[in-house]
Amino acid sequence: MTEVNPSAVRSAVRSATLPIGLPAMLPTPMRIKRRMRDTPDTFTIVLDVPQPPFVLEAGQFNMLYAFGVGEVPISISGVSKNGGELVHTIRDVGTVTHALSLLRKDGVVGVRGPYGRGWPLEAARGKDVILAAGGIGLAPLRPAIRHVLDHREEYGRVVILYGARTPQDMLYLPEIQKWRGRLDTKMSVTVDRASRKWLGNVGVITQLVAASRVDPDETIAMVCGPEIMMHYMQIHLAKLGLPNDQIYVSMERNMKCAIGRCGHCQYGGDFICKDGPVFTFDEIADRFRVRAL
Amino acid sequence: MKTLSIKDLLGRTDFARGMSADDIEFLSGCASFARFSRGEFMMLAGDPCDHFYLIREGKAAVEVESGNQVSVIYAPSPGDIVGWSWTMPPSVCRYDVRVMDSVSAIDFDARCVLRKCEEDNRFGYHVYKRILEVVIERLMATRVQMLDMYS
Ligand SMILES: Cc1cc2nc3c(=O)[nH]c(=O)nc-3n(C[C@H](O)[C@H](O)[C@H](O)COP(=O)(O)OP(=O)(O)OC[C@H]3O[C@@H](n4cnc5c(N)ncnc54)[C@H](O)[C@@H]3O)c2cc1C
Ligand code: FES
Repeated sequence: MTEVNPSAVRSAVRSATLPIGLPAMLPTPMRIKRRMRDTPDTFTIVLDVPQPPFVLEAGQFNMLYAFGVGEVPISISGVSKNGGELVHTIRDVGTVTHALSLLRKDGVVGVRGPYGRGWPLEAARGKDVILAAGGIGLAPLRPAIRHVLDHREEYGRVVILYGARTPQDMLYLPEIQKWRGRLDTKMSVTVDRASRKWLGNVGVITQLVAASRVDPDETIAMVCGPEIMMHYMQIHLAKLGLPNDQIYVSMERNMKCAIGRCGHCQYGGDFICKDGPVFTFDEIADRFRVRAL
Repeated sequence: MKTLSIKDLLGRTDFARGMSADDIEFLSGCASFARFSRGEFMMLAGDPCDHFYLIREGKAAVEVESGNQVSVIYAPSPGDIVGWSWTMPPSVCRYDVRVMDSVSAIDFDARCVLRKCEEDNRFGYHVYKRILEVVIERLMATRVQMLDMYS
């Protein structure tokens, strides 16, 4: 007898109820209002939303279209209070991201979205929260961090951990300084390598986990970074006493439609574009870091 | 206010967790308090490794010099053990350890600890087991660091 994968059924049922049609696939042209270089290979663009407000959940992504080149999924790393400005931080790794990197102020990007399931900010209310990002993983996690800090009284202890390769590779430095200055939040930063000028931590991000004074039964962890980093973070969070259903990670796979139709982003029984990108570790533990998946 | 003795302080550390009170007392016999100011070196590569430290406050930097560039490869902080080359001959320090933020530490006389380990092998087993834990932890962290996982 063929076994039915419950999450595949869940996914199919959700797809069937998704509105599909031209508008879902048609990008909205948005003008670049500002562009900043964050690190040698990473830049941030601020887009002018033609019909604000742009409403989203922290952790969702947009499909960004470099006209004539192609489309890529990029997380939303910020939105202005009135929903009129949309922020994306992008690392130049290949064809489309490079084409996006060449655009300057007043350049136009096609935008579809927002898509996907975001961070569990509602489920985390009243609990201790660990927000851990590695490298460019701070971009997708930043809206969640901002939300938690803007609604600080709704959460218990808040621990923010950030790991980068070197001090020069760190994103959003002025904002990190502000987070570090808060008395109601513990923020630790570490880098893999540094020169003598750096006075902060040097070592892997996982070594910061043990010092998080949280109540493991009442803690939600949100982790975003390369898979290898999330893998080690899960091991250390488990050592701290967090079960897998309290650890959330954001997954990445190649995408085409972003609305659960084409199957490009299939990950076991789930489509990352609509069942994710944020999953509890529990939901994906059986396939996490399985080769070729 | 009562000042805690080295034995009491050591008993509260992760390093001594699970050690008997007698063993902690025995180990404390080789320990004293030490303070280092910013910029001072706790260890210098090439020097005999006859001390090791358990950091209580502050931060240090384990440094490697290559060419004319100095890189920080690890920054020990409270709870960390600094120095384990004393465990095996030739007991020579491998790295420079410079103080970043004034450090207060428990300073162990490594020769005294080694002598006690030789005299009482059961005690020695407990000490080496704990040092091995530190080494494994550092080895795993170094491997992850080498993966260059944010690239
Ligand atoms: C939900 C989701 C959210 C994302 N959010 C962001 C974001 O906020 N910022 C961001 O910069 N990227 C983000 N990404 C990754 C981004 O989509 C890819 O980097 C992009 O699709 C690469 O397309 P390309 O055409 O530039 O590269 P390609 O030409 O497709 O690839 C060129 C080379 O880059 C490598 N490559 C592809 N993707 C990556 C990657 N992610 N990291 C390192 N190397 C890669 C390929 O293996 C290949 O060798 C996200 C992905 C997903 C699925
Ligand atoms: S990208 Fe098409 S199903 Fe996810």
